[in-house]
Amino acid sequence: MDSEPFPSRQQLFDALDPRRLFLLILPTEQCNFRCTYCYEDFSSGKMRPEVVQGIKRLVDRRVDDVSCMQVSWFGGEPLIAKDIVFDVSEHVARRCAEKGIEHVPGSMTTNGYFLAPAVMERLCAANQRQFQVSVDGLGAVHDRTRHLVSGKGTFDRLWGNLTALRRTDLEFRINLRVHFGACDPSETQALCREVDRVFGGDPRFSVYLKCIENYGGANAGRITPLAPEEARKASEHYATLMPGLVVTNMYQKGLREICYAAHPNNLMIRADGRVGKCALSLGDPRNTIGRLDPDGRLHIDNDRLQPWMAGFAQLDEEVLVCPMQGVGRTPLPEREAVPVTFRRPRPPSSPP
Amino acid sequence: MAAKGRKPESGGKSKAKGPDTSKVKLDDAGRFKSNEGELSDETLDKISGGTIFKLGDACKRPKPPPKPLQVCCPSVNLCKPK
Repeated sequence: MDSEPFPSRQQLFDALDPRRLFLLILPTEQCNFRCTYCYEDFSSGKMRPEVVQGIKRLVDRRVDDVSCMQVSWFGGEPLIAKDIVFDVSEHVARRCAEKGIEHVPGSMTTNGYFLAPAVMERLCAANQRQFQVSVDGLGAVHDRTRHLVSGKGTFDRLWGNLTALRRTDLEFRINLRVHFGACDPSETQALCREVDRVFGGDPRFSVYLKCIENYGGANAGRITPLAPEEARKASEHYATLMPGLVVTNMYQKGLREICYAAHPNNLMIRADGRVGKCALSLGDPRNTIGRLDPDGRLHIDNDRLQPWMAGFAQLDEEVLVCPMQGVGRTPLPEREAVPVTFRRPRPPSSPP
Repeated sequence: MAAKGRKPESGGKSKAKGPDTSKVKLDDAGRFKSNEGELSDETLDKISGGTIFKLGDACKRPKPPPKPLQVCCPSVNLCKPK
């Protein structure tokens, strides 16, 4: 039964606690994959050293007034820039340890291509332990929708990494995001059974069932999502095929969260030093609320920040869960919030 | 068992249902104040049914510790697949 009110007091506290600092970092906005449903435009390249330095200085400036810190990673594919991930994560881990600050295990949304055991070992040592990795099917089914820029398949490498990680004793959590709706249901069933066979019984692995949706961007016209009721029923069915794993899906009411983008203690740092809120609406100018300087100083346009918190006053569930729904109703800005002073790196002609 | 959930609003007023974030301003280190009226403790106490937790006073914050940041919120269709 869903008796806990939304938002709960814990959720409100987490969202509005000024003694927390959560950073969501995009160390590169390039990706080695070209998924057929991706919405990103890969307009920015790898984070420049000035921005990396700015993040570390910002952390240094906050260690005396926060009780809790977390760094999470997004992209692009963050492990293309794993040197930055290691550098910043290790810096944060060190500073938290020195100051006795609670260091919440960091999370990463990654395609898993570079998530080999040696990489995982170093990430875990820096307390980066939570991962979301998507799988669309077995073998060629996965390769059809989640291929490299070159068109080459990615399943074998991904599956090899996941099974190798299964054999380690590292303390990580991998949430396998099992996509459905883009292939035949029998292919998704085969994937679910195999996921359960290989990873079932290992509490480090869990599954999140997700219907492929229309995420916008250049691929928007290519996607025909399932109707919500159909997707809900499919989720329930697929979950029964994985009895050895904790399986969640987007239709579970108990999973409602106040989106991180609504939290004033959560900032997204983009590869070019822009400061934003939401990792989805990267092309929307309302999603730039400031910039980070190399000395760790933030220049925040607080008028741009306000709409992201619009859901709190009336505890508007829809807007708290997705603040972009409120922000999207505000007018587009006529000028750039705070000019970006960093020279934006030119995207490489062919990502690694 | 004590009833859970928020107490109904008295007097039919719809204002101040949740915390007032209208004065929250981040400084050049991303700090913001929450205990000087912008996000009043009273408001949050009311929301939380009287449980003591004061913003800005992390020692009293309730357990368990915060969950990891969920980048792709499962409640929304717009979740980024990676």
